[in-house]
Amino acid sequence: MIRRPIVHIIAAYLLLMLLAGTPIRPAHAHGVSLFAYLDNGMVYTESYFSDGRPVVGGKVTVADRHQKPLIHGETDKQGLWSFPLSGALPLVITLDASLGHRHTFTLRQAKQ
Amino acid sequence: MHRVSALLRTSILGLTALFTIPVMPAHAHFGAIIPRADIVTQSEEGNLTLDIAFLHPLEQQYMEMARPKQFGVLHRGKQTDLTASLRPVKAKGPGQNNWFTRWEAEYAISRPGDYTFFVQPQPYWEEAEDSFILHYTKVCVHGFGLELGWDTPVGLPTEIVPLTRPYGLWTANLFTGQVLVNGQPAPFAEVEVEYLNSSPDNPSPIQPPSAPYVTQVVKADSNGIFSYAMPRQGWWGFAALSPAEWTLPHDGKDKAVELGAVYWVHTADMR
Repeated sequence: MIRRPIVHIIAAYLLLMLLAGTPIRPAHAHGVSLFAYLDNGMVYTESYFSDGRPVVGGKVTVADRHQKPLIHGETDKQGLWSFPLSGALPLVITLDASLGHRHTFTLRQAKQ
Repeated sequence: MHRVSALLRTSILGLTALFTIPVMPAHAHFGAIIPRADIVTQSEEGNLTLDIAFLHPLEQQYMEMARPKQFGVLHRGKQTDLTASLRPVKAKGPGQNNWFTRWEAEYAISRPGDYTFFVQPQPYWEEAEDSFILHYTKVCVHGFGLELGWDTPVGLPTEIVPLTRPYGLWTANLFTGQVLVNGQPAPFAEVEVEYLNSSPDNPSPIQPPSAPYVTQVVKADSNGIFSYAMPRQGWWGFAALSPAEWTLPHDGKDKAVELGAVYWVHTADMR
């Protein structure tokens, strides 16, 4: 049997979350993608949900064609992260946005 | 090699259709833009060929298509004119004695987001209907996982704006769209629907048992909204028709103009 004070605490917490404007949207409904392009010796990555929201704090790992890890980083508030190109193309760039969201993009061309 | 295989497949499909489809009067005309893919996920897939034609899609009968007045693409709110990239190609359907002009263009999908390609053709004189036909045609190609832009109107004199996301569709999905004329909903517009018999992934040519099966017809509601469930994998064309409020001269006489808002979507079987 649930004690009445606990019910009140849960109800108050839910109400607080609603009033605080917690976004009510399914966490998994929008897939994530990473897009990368090369410009003037730098590789620029963009990570986003399918509806255009940026992936903030996404873990990005870069590997060569043999899956050997080369460099890793984290996306900023705009979903961006960049690094200087130091090896040969192609690069296998993987975004891990947690909650099971993961996407791999292969950068093959110098000019996109 | 792929081009040869595709041509061979089209020819086989066409010849088979020629000997199996009962002779029937030609029905709906469709402007068409058929890209080699409607979804691009990796950069090496981004160099697209787009086929642009005026035809009867199920019967695979081509009409002569003059150089379009405009061919363009809308991406992330920016329109780009691609008319200069068009090149003429000759095409002939099963049973057709003459070659007809269709058009091809190459385009590189290079950035995330939805690309809506559109064609504004030259008016086509249809002797049998004693009128001109002018089909404003659209198709959407999705790029790199960013699902933005597919529901943005281009601003054509008449167009179908999809209410169903127009890519990643399974066979039997319901496609819903809104017909606009001069930017306003077109109440009770008639929408013709046809399957592209030469779809590269059509497993076998369609053999309609009688004429009404060739072109499906649905009517929009009072807000210009229509729906249709597509029963086969491949490309499907939707043509919403409306009479123009103006005429064009032909042999010294003013003739009516049929406006068409055409939209193409692709379906795939669940496997």
